[in-house]
Amino acid sequence: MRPATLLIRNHLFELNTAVKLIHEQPKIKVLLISAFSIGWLASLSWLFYAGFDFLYKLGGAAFFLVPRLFTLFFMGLGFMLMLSGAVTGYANLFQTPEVRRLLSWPIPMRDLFYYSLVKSTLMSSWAFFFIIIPFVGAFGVYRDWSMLMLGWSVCFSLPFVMLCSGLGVLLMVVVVRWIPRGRTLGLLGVLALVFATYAAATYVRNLQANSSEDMMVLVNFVPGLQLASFPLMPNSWMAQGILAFSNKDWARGGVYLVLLSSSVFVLFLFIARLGSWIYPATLQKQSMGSNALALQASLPSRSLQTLFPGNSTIRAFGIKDSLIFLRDPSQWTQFLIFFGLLALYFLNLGSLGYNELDSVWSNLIAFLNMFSLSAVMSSLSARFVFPQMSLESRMLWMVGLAPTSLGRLMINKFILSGLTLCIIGSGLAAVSNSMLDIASSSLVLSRVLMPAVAFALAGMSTGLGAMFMEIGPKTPAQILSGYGGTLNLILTLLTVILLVLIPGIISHVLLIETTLVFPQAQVTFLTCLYIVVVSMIAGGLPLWMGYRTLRNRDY
Amino acid sequence: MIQLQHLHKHYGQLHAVNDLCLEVPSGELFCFLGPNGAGKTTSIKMMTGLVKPDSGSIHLAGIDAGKEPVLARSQLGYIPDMPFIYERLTPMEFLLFTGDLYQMPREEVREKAPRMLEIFGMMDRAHMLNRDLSHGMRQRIIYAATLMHEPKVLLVDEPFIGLDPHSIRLIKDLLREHTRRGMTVLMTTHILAIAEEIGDRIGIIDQGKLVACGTLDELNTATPGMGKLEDLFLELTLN
Repeated sequence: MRPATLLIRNHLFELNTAVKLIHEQPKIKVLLISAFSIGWLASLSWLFYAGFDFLYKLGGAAFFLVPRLFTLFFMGLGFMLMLSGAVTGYANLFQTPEVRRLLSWPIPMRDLFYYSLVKSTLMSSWAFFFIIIPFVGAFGVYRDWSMLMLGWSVCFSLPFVMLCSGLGVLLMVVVVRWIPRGRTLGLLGVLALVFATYAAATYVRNLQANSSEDMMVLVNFVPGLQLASFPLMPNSWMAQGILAFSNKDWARGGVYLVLLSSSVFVLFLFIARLGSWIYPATLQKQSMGSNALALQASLPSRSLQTLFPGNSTIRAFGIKDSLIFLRDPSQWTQFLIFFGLLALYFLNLGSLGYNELDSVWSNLIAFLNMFSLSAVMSSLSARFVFPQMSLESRMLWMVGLAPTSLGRLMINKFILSGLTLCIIGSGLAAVSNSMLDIASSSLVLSRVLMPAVAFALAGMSTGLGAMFMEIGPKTPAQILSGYGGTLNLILTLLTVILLVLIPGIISHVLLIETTLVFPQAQVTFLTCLYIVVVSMIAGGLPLWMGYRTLRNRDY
Repeated sequence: MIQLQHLHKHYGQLHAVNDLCLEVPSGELFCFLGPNGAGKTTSIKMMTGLVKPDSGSIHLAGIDAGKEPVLARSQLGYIPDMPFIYERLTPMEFLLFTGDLYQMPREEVREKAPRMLEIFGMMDRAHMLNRDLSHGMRQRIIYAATLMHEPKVLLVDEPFIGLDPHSIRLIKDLLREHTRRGMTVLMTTHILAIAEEIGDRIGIIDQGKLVACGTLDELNTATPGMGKLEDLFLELTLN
């Protein structure tokens, strides 16, 4: 048996064992994940169903719109898969201890790359079935089609996710291998990237110029639709194939399935061959390249010196944390992807015409945006803020002995994470609000809301992180998967719901109700007070409890 | 100096440290020996403040560590057996971090950090990431960081694990030199030959109790017939 096959089989065994050992996991965690999965599938299916219902009630336009919507949906999914594949691939190929261990074994480099490629594809793509199934399922149910549609959707999805995730891994390896590291060369690399983006945009514009009149009307409403419908795009084959099977046009659907599968097969072989060819050199560059550090401590150092001139402990941890964060691509890419996508969406609100909507609708969208922003902040605070105290426990030989208390260290962590979340959250909310041009009362609420959410999330995650501090060499994933991590995730999500949902409803009522019992200014003030009180309790209480725990425990 | 008086620590039924009394004066290198699980690390952790004693008192450099823990810790340096350092910082950045953490003036840190790296032969690696350094090189950074704030008391847990002869010599010389300058050093080790070579006094702990303490000559006099420290150690800790 080839080493790659052996490794993949071993990985599958490990996955199987992990599934069998679910009963050993904290019950609250299993319950939460199950409830979330079911809730997610149900609500997303309902949402897609309502969307299809809306489209088909428009009349004949649905027959023109739906196939294009399918292509657009799978294109978006494809790009997300590529991103996910790139991030997971980077961690698998260059960062895991497993790779370092395998390198010392008599395994050909080609097999090592092939194994990492398959592993990254598996890891990065399984979650996407939780988007594909509700979308296709809702369409099948709405059109009263056989549920077998889900079956052949999976048949199409497998090669599709392999292709997109594989391309993501390959692109990442190419970028890591050939992007120059020096400042001047790096700048040239960025310029080349800007030029490539411009060329791609020009190409898409040219495609639009040759389109039919109906298509042009649609393209003006839905950016990227023309590219998604391009006949050589795999997402187009996937969408056409699923719809053809659903219409019992087996021959046409079959052609698309064969086309997709064979292309993926050839491309996967190509990716594996090319990747294994450049992988050794890339690995070499990765292990050597860190000696020439481009990023120095001067920028975070200067900023923190200005912000906290008299506090050397905050400066010490601020500089240390920001350098570690910026030097770890698996950390900053997560920030960049989540907040970058939100920023792109917020910046495009104007071009989507949302600012021209009725004030009730634009206000609703503004609060939905703040909710999604807070939800992202909540998951990132669970991922990055909660494990911080446990991760610092590895440095207790130094940090625990410094002339500062662990309680003070916890407060420092809270200040730095709270400040970061506040700047990002308030900044992005301001972009969204300005694009939507929302009413002044909602603007006031938003300006109070985002710092409050940042305070509550940072306080809760830091405080619970201190209360459930785990001593020892544990990874963030191990820390997060414990009881404390799960509890933190639930409580931060509840806090977001409490903090954003209620002010959102109040703000909506303020706009639709013309005869209010209380004056608008008074209602706005009371809502602000509610936000402040809830955030103080949600953030302050765990902080206080964490402080007490740190003071009374042994290490 | 280090003064431990009637220290006790229980972990459930286990009496990890049992009425430990010890005094190590300034300028002495004290070697703390004992089999695995004898209570050495617990004793050291109590001195660092990471573990709270059930009863008894600890004085470090004349400061009561129970009453003024922050002040006591500012006089203390601790080097564990397998210390972690931040992988994505450089040695220079790690020293700057340590200086800030110990609230040293920035100018002093900027002047001292390169000097410490020079002493430990790490200047040519000052801007490499820690993750790219060998175990020995990392140990040198840890010593540099710990000694940078000039502690009066130094606790060292198994300092020679996995080090090459150059690093072992460097650390032995360094401990001797700092002791001569008045630093109190308490070191645990399983390498009895090193304890014999560099220890001013030796203490042997077993099942949480200090069973022997004194200079090598004093120990030999107290237990006639035991030619070597190894024989004495094995005899005292047999059960």
